[in-house]
Amino acid sequence: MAPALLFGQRAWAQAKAALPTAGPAWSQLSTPQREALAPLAGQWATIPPENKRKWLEIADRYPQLSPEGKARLQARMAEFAKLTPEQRRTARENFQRAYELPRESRESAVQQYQLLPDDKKKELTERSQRKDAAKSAQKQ
Amino acid sequence: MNQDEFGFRVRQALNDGAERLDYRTVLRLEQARGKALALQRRAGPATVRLPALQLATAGAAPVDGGGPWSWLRGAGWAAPLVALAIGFVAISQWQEELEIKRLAALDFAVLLDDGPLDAYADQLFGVLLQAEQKADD
Repeated sequence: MAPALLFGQRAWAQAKAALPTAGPAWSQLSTPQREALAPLAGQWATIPPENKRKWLEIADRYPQLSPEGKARLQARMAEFAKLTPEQRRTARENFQRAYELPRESRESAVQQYQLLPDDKKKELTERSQRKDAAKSAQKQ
Repeated sequence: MNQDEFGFRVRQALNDGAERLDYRTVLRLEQARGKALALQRRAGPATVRLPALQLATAGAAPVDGGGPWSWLRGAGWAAPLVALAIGFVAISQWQEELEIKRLAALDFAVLLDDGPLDAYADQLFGVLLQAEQKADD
Protein backbone atom coordinates (compact mmCIF):
# COMPACT_ATOMS: atom_id res chain seq x y z
CA MET A 1 0.00 0.00 0.00
CA ALA A 2 2.86 2.40 0.89
CA PRO A 3 4.51 2.24 -2.59
CA ALA A 4 1.09 2.80 -4.17
CA LEU A 5 0.56 5.88 -1.98
CA LEU A 6 4.02 7.18 -2.85
CA PHE A 7 3.40 6.63 -6.54
CA GLY A 8 0.05 8.40 -6.34
CA GLN A 9 1.53 11.37 -4.54
CA ARG A 10 4.42 11.61 -7.02
CA ALA A 11 2.02 11.42 -9.96
CA TRP A 12 -0.11 14.18 -8.41
CA ALA A 13 2.95 16.38 -7.84
CA GLN A 14 4.05 15.88 -11.46
CA ALA A 15 0.57 16.60 -12.78
CA LYS A 16 0.42 19.77 -10.70
CA ALA A 17 3.84 20.94 -11.86
CA ALA A 18 2.66 20.59 -15.46
CA LEU A 19 -0.35 22.84 -14.85
CA PRO A 20 0.18 26.42 -16.02
CA THR A 21 -0.97 28.06 -12.76
CA ALA A 22 0.59 31.31 -11.64
CA GLY A 23 -1.57 31.95 -8.57
CA PRO A 24 -3.68 35.07 -8.06
CA ALA A 25 -2.68 38.27 -9.86
CA TRP A 26 -1.94 41.40 -7.81
CA SER A 27 -5.20 42.96 -9.06
CA GLN A 28 -7.14 39.95 -7.72
CA LEU A 29 -5.98 40.51 -4.12
CA SER A 30 -8.26 42.21 -1.60
CA THR A 31 -7.44 45.75 -0.41
CA PRO A 32 -6.15 44.57 3.02
CA GLN A 33 -3.99 41.93 1.30
CA ARG A 34 -2.54 44.52 -1.10
CA GLU A 35 -1.89 46.87 1.83
CA ALA A 36 -0.08 44.15 3.82
CA LEU A 37 1.99 42.94 0.88
CA ALA A 38 2.66 46.39 -0.64
CA PRO A 39 6.50 45.93 -0.71
CA LEU A 40 5.99 42.88 -2.96
CA ALA A 41 3.79 44.66 -5.53
CA GLY A 42 6.60 45.02 -8.08
CA GLN A 43 7.73 41.40 -7.93
CA TRP A 44 4.35 39.71 -7.26
CA ALA A 45 4.00 38.43 -10.84
CA THR A 46 7.35 36.61 -10.60
CA ILE A 47 6.60 34.87 -7.27
CA PRO A 48 5.79 31.13 -7.64
CA PRO A 49 2.17 30.16 -6.75
CA GLU A 50 3.11 28.23 -3.56
CA ASN A 51 5.05 31.25 -2.28
CA LYS A 52 2.10 33.49 -3.10
CA ARG A 53 -0.12 31.29 -0.91
CA LYS A 54 2.43 31.58 1.89
CA TRP A 55 2.53 35.39 1.55
CA LEU A 56 -1.28 35.52 1.62
CA GLU A 57 -1.17 33.57 4.90
CA ILE A 58 1.25 36.20 6.23
CA ALA A 59 -1.06 38.97 4.96
CA ASP A 60 -3.91 37.43 7.01
CA ARG A 61 -1.80 37.86 10.18
CA TYR A 62 -0.72 41.41 9.34
CA PRO A 63 -3.77 43.29 10.78
CA GLN A 64 -3.08 41.83 14.25
CA LEU A 65 0.34 43.52 14.44
CA SER A 66 1.20 46.76 16.23
CA PRO A 67 2.23 49.73 14.02
CA GLU A 68 5.90 48.95 14.85
CA GLY A 69 5.42 45.28 13.95
CA LYS A 70 3.76 46.22 10.66
CA ALA A 71 6.63 48.56 9.80
CA ARG A 72 9.29 45.94 10.62
CA LEU A 73 7.51 43.20 8.68
CA GLN A 74 7.18 45.36 5.59
CA ALA A 75 10.75 46.66 5.82
CA ARG A 76 12.15 43.10 5.67
CA MET A 77 9.54 41.65 3.31
CA ALA A 78 11.03 42.69 -0.04
CA GLU A 79 14.55 41.69 1.07
CA PHE A 80 13.32 38.26 2.17
CA ALA A 81 11.36 37.69 -1.05
CA LYS A 82 14.50 38.41 -3.10
CA LEU A 83 16.49 35.62 -1.39
CA THR A 84 17.00 32.39 -3.33
CA PRO A 85 15.00 29.34 -2.14
CA GLU A 86 18.25 27.94 -0.71
CA GLN A 87 18.95 31.17 1.22
CA ARG A 88 15.40 31.24 2.57
CA ARG A 89 15.79 27.64 3.75
CA THR A 90 19.10 28.56 5.44
CA ALA A 91 17.48 31.64 7.02
CA ARG A 92 14.71 29.51 8.55
CA GLU A 93 17.20 26.93 9.86
CA ASN A 94 19.52 29.57 11.33
CA PHE A 95 16.61 31.43 12.90
CA GLN A 96 15.42 28.27 14.64
CA ARG A 97 18.97 27.36 15.68
CA ALA A 98 19.56 30.90 17.01
CA TYR A 99 16.51 30.70 19.26
CA GLU A 100 17.73 27.42 20.76
CA LEU A 101 20.60 29.45 22.26
CA PRO A 102 20.52 31.85 25.21
CA ARG A 103 20.13 35.51 24.25
CA GLU A 104 23.80 36.34 25.02
CA SER A 105 25.15 33.53 22.80
CA ARG A 106 22.78 34.54 20.00
CA GLU A 107 23.90 38.17 20.20
CA SER A 108 27.53 37.09 20.33
CA ALA A 109 27.14 35.06 17.10
CA VAL A 110 25.49 38.04 15.37
CA GLN A 111 28.28 40.33 16.54
CA GLN A 112 31.00 37.94 15.34
CA TYR A 113 29.29 37.65 11.98
CA GLN A 114 28.94 41.38 11.51
CA LEU A 115 32.55 42.06 12.51
CA LEU A 116 33.97 39.62 9.98
CA PRO A 117 35.30 41.30 6.82
CA ASP A 118 33.67 40.14 3.57
CA ASP A 119 36.78 38.32 2.28
CA LYS A 120 37.09 36.44 5.58
CA LYS A 121 33.38 35.49 5.39
CA LYS A 122 33.97 34.16 1.88
CA GLU A 123 37.00 32.16 2.97
CA LEU A 124 35.23 30.66 5.98
CA THR A 125 32.16 29.79 3.88
CA GLU A 126 34.29 27.99 1.33
CA ARG A 127 36.15 26.12 4.07
CA SER A 128 32.86 25.08 5.67
CA GLN A 129 31.49 23.93 2.31
CA ARG A 130 34.62 21.84 1.66
CA LYS A 131 34.28 20.26 5.10
CA ASP A 132 30.59 19.43 4.45
CA ALA A 133 31.45 17.92 1.04
CA ALA A 134 34.16 15.73 2.62
CA LYS A 135 31.73 14.59 5.34
CA SER A 136 29.04 13.62 2.83
CA ALA A 137 31.66 11.81 0.67
CA GLN A 138 32.73 9.79 3.73
CA LYS A 139 29.12 8.78 4.42
CA GLN A 140 28.64 7.42 0.86
CA MET B 1 -55.08 -27.17 -35.69
CA ASN B 2 -53.11 -23.97 -35.48
CA GLN B 3 -50.77 -22.98 -32.63
CA ASP B 4 -53.27 -20.76 -30.76
CA GLU B 5 -55.90 -23.47 -30.81
CA PHE B 6 -53.34 -26.02 -29.60
CA GLY B 7 -52.39 -23.73 -26.65
CA PHE B 8 -56.06 -23.23 -25.75
CA ARG B 9 -56.66 -26.98 -25.72
CA VAL B 10 -53.65 -27.68 -23.49
CA ARG B 11 -54.76 -25.02 -20.98
CA GLN B 12 -58.27 -26.45 -20.90
CA ALA B 13 -56.96 -29.97 -20.34
CA LEU B 14 -54.78 -28.76 -17.40
CA ASN B 15 -57.68 -26.87 -15.81
CA ASP B 16 -59.90 -29.92 -16.15
CA GLY B 17 -57.18 -32.01 -14.47
CA ALA B 18 -56.95 -29.58 -11.51
CA GLU B 19 -60.70 -29.63 -11.02
CA ARG B 20 -60.69 -33.38 -10.95
CA LEU B 21 -58.05 -33.63 -8.09
CA ASP B 22 -58.88 -35.95 -5.22
CA TYR B 23 -60.33 -33.99 -2.20
CA ARG B 24 -57.57 -35.51 0.06
CA THR B 25 -54.88 -34.17 -2.24
CA VAL B 26 -56.51 -30.74 -2.21
CA LEU B 27 -56.72 -30.85 1.61
CA ARG B 28 -53.02 -31.77 1.94
CA LEU B 29 -52.00 -29.06 -0.48
CA GLU B 30 -54.10 -26.54 1.49
CA GLN B 31 -52.50 -27.60 4.81
CA ALA B 32 -48.99 -27.37 3.37
CA ARG B 33 -49.72 -23.90 2.04
CA GLY B 34 -51.04 -22.82 5.47
CA LYS B 35 -47.89 -24.12 7.21
CA ALA B 36 -45.59 -22.40 4.76
CA LEU B 37 -47.40 -19.07 5.21
CA ALA B 38 -47.26 -19.37 9.02
CA LEU B 39 -43.53 -20.06 8.91
CA GLN B 40 -42.94 -17.06 6.67
CA ARG B 41 -44.96 -14.77 9.00
CA ARG B 42 -42.87 -15.93 12.02
CA ALA B 43 -39.55 -15.36 10.22
CA GLY B 44 -40.43 -11.73 9.43
CA PRO B 45 -39.74 -9.95 6.15
CA ALA B 46 -37.20 -11.67 4.00
CA THR B 47 -33.83 -9.97 3.48
CA VAL B 48 -32.67 -9.86 -0.07
CA ARG B 49 -28.91 -9.66 -0.48
CA LEU B 50 -27.52 -8.17 -3.67
CA PRO B 51 -23.90 -7.92 -4.73
CA ALA B 52 -22.44 -4.41 -4.34
CA LEU B 53 -23.41 -1.94 -7.06
CA GLN B 54 -25.93 -4.34 -8.63
CA LEU B 55 -29.31 -2.73 -9.04
CA ALA B 56 -32.44 -4.50 -7.79
CA THR B 57 -34.40 -4.09 -10.98
CA ALA B 58 -37.38 -6.36 -10.45
CA GLY B 59 -38.87 -7.36 -13.73
CA ALA B 60 -36.18 -5.71 -15.80
CA ALA B 61 -33.46 -7.46 -17.73
CA PRO B 62 -30.87 -9.09 -15.45
CA VAL B 63 -27.74 -7.00 -14.84
CA ASP B 64 -25.53 -9.73 -16.25
CA GLY B 65 -27.59 -9.81 -19.38
CA GLY B 66 -26.19 -6.58 -20.89
CA GLY B 67 -29.24 -4.41 -20.13
CA PRO B 68 -29.22 -0.61 -19.81
CA TRP B 69 -27.39 -0.86 -16.43
CA SER B 70 -24.68 -3.24 -17.63
CA TRP B 71 -22.05 -0.43 -17.47
CA LEU B 72 -22.39 -0.61 -13.67
CA ARG B 73 -20.66 -4.02 -13.77
CA GLY B 74 -17.44 -2.14 -14.59
CA ALA B 75 -18.02 0.30 -11.76
CA GLY B 76 -17.77 -2.61 -9.32
CA TRP B 77 -13.98 -2.71 -9.63
CA ALA B 78 -13.43 0.88 -10.80
CA ALA B 79 -15.06 2.46 -7.74
CA PRO B 80 -12.26 1.57 -5.27
CA LEU B 81 -9.66 2.90 -7.75
CA VAL B 82 -11.56 6.17 -8.14
CA ALA B 83 -11.87 6.42 -4.34
CA LEU B 84 -8.11 5.78 -4.02
CA ALA B 85 -7.30 8.48 -6.59
CA ILE B 86 -9.55 10.98 -4.79
CA GLY B 87 -7.80 9.99 -1.54
CA PHE B 88 -4.35 10.68 -3.03
CA VAL B 89 -5.39 14.12 -4.22
CA ALA B 90 -7.00 14.99 -0.88
CA ILE B 91 -3.95 13.83 1.14
CA SER B 92 -1.52 15.70 -1.14
CA GLN B 93 -3.53 18.90 -0.91
CA TRP B 94 -3.83 18.58 2.86
CA GLN B 95 -0.06 18.01 3.24
CA GLU B 96 0.71 20.96 0.96
CA GLU B 97 -1.66 23.18 2.92
CA LEU B 98 0.01 22.18 6.22
CA GLU B 99 3.49 22.87 4.78
CA ILE B 100 2.42 26.31 3.51
CA LYS B 101 0.98 27.19 6.93
CA ARG B 102 4.18 25.98 8.66
CA LEU B 103 6.40 28.05 6.35
CA ALA B 104 4.14 31.09 6.72
CA ALA B 105 4.35 30.90 10.53
CA LEU B 106 8.15 30.53 10.39
CA ASP B 107 8.67 33.32 7.84
CA PHE B 108 6.34 35.58 9.82
CA ALA B 109 8.58 35.06 12.89
CA VAL B 110 11.80 35.63 10.87
CA LEU B 111 10.37 38.85 9.40
CA LEU B 112 9.34 40.19 12.81
CA ASP B 113 12.68 39.32 14.41
CA ASP B 114 15.36 41.96 14.87
CA GLY B 115 18.22 39.62 13.85
CA PRO B 116 19.95 40.60 10.57
CA LEU B 117 18.39 38.86 7.54
CA ASP B 118 21.69 38.66 5.66
CA ALA B 119 23.19 36.74 8.60
CA TYR B 120 20.25 34.36 8.83
CA ALA B 121 20.49 33.65 5.10
CA ASP B 122 24.22 32.86 5.31
CA GLN B 123 25.46 29.34 6.06
CA LEU B 124 28.48 30.87 7.80
CA PHE B 125 26.19 32.30 10.47
CA GLY B 126 24.96 28.76 11.07
CA VAL B 127 28.57 27.68 11.65
CA LEU B 128 29.02 30.51 14.18
CA LEU B 129 25.80 29.50 15.94
CA GLN B 130 27.04 25.90 16.14
CA ALA B 131 30.31 27.12 17.66
CA GLU B 132 28.33 29.09 20.26
CA GLN B 133 26.23 26.03 20.99
CA LYS B 134 29.35 23.89 21.54
CA ALA B 135 30.82 26.57 23.82
CA ASP B 136 27.58 26.59 25.86
CA ASP B 137 27.59 22.77 26.18
